[in-house]
Amino acid sequence: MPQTDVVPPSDVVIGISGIEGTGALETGIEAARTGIATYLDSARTRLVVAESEPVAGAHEHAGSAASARVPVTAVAYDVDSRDLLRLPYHGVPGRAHALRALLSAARDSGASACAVIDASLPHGVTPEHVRWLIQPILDNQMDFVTPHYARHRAEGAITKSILSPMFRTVFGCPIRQPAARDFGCSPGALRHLLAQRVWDEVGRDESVDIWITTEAAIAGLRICEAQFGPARHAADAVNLSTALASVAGSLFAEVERRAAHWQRLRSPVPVCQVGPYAVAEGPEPDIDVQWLIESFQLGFADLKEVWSEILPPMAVLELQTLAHAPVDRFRLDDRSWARIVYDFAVGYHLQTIRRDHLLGSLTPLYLGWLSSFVLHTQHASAAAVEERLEAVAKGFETEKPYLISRWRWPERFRS
Amino acid sequence: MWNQIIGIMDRAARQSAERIAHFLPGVLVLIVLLAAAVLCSIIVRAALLRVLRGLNFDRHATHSGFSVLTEWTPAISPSLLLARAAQWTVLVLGLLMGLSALDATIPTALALSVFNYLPNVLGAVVIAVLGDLCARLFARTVLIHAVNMHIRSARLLGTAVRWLVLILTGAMVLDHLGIGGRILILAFGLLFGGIMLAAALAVGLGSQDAVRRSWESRAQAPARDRDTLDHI
Repeated sequence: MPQTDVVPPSDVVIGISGIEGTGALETGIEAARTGIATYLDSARTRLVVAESEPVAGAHEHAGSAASARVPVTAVAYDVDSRDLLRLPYHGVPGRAHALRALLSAARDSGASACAVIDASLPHGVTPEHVRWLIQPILDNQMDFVTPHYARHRAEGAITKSILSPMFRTVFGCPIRQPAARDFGCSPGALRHLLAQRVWDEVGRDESVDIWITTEAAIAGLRICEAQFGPARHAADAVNLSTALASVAGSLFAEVERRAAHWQRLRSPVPVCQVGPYAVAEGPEPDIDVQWLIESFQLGFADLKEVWSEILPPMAVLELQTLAHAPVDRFRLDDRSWARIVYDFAVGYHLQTIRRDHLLGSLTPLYLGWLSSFVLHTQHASAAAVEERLEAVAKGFETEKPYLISRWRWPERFRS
Repeated sequence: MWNQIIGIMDRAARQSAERIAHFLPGVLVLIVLLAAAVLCSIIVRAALLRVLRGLNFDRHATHSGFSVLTEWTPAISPSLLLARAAQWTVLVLGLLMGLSALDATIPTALALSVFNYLPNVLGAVVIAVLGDLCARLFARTVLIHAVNMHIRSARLLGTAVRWLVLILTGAMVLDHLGIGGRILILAFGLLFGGIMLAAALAVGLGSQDAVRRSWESRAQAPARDRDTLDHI
């Protein structure tokens, strides 16, 4: 294992992870230094970089003279050879170990607040990250800060259609990006996360972000959502079906793991929000709605038998009606969509069919939802899009009793 | 002369009586073994059925893709099917053991050859079941991936993969049973080679233009097939 520097005592630790050798880490360090110099006490703050093969002092003299006063410590993490066999959707093998190394370094330094920022994201690290991931912990006694980036209506659609509404309903925590790769946490949250014995599990790399947020929500930590400016657009590291299977699979695994907890929860508890309101900037990405609808129709024609093993007959009938609907009446009802996602979660739990098949067959359904959403919000303002997303989340909340019933008595819904 | 005839008849009667006396215990043993086999088979069937139902085997079998059992006999549950198979196996084994007890040359040779052949049959059954499972698994995997890749002939691809694996399995099963010999290998080679040649000719000659157009449109319109959205 590569040598790791010892992190000296600090009040605040800013941890940076990311893909090495791309220059992203260096850029991230420089931006974080600027943020620290602007919003925090440079003398009592430490930058920690997670690297698989760190070189001591390599980042010390990088950056401008003004910001280089913030010292940098490199911590090592190991990348399991099994992690290299399967590229996670975020494209960073060994991410779980990198996060553990950063959190351990923050805990050992006795920090009062810690922020972990992924430098490989297209929007990179900004000084605002340092501000909004740390300040709620220092000033408002929050335990866990999760970001929300302003994006165009069709960007992050997996998060908007499945992840966020289901997370909000099932775990009672209305945050909009539960799989965000940046977060801030208090010493209590650090101790709690590091005490969990799941860091070495196979496949943890792709589910670690959802797991951390779920753990924070389940443990009753005080959660805060920080609003950030527009995120820069970039395609996912893997293809759509792999990304969807990875994210939905991680969420369903958490739902399965926490079944005893969420069945007792009632309505979501509002979370504190900080940061300025922001809307997406720049041109909206091109979306070929016709192609999305065709993908759904093709899925219905060829995967109907597979869906019939997961969904109740009524749901398949609804999908049949949708598959034959003309474009101007192509609408997937919010509650129907919520039930479909819940049916897939139950199918994942019961292993009705192989899990990779189940998650793979979700892609055309998701594209059906996306085309319906895009058609529905074609000329809508940013506020109207937010309202639409709120309606989707309400659909999930309304259908939560359905999830509980299906979870407890799955055979009732077969006919 | 009369005495001679009497003597021969007496000898024949004695030999017959001896043979019957020699044969009767074997028949008795056969009857006892058959009765024991029937009893054992009933016990095995009941016990196996109880254990499998206790383990919720029917549900697990369906969920784990073992639907081949239910598809062969839709009216019978997988656990009942396995229990019946075990019952008949015990019965046949009992019958073969009983035949050996008769001490007759032909039944003994038959029993021996059946016993010698039994591992091949069991191996063939295992190959057939595994082959069917693999065929379903590969077919569904190909189908789902093809649909997600927006391939219009996804179902055809899935079916083709399934039948290729089934044909391969069939050839392996027959080879394992020693049926067909070289003819089987030759037939399989011809069939497989024929399919590939037909496909190559169909694509190379019949669909030449369609394939070229498909590749050209793919190269010219990358955004349609390649997703550039950030979905997460």
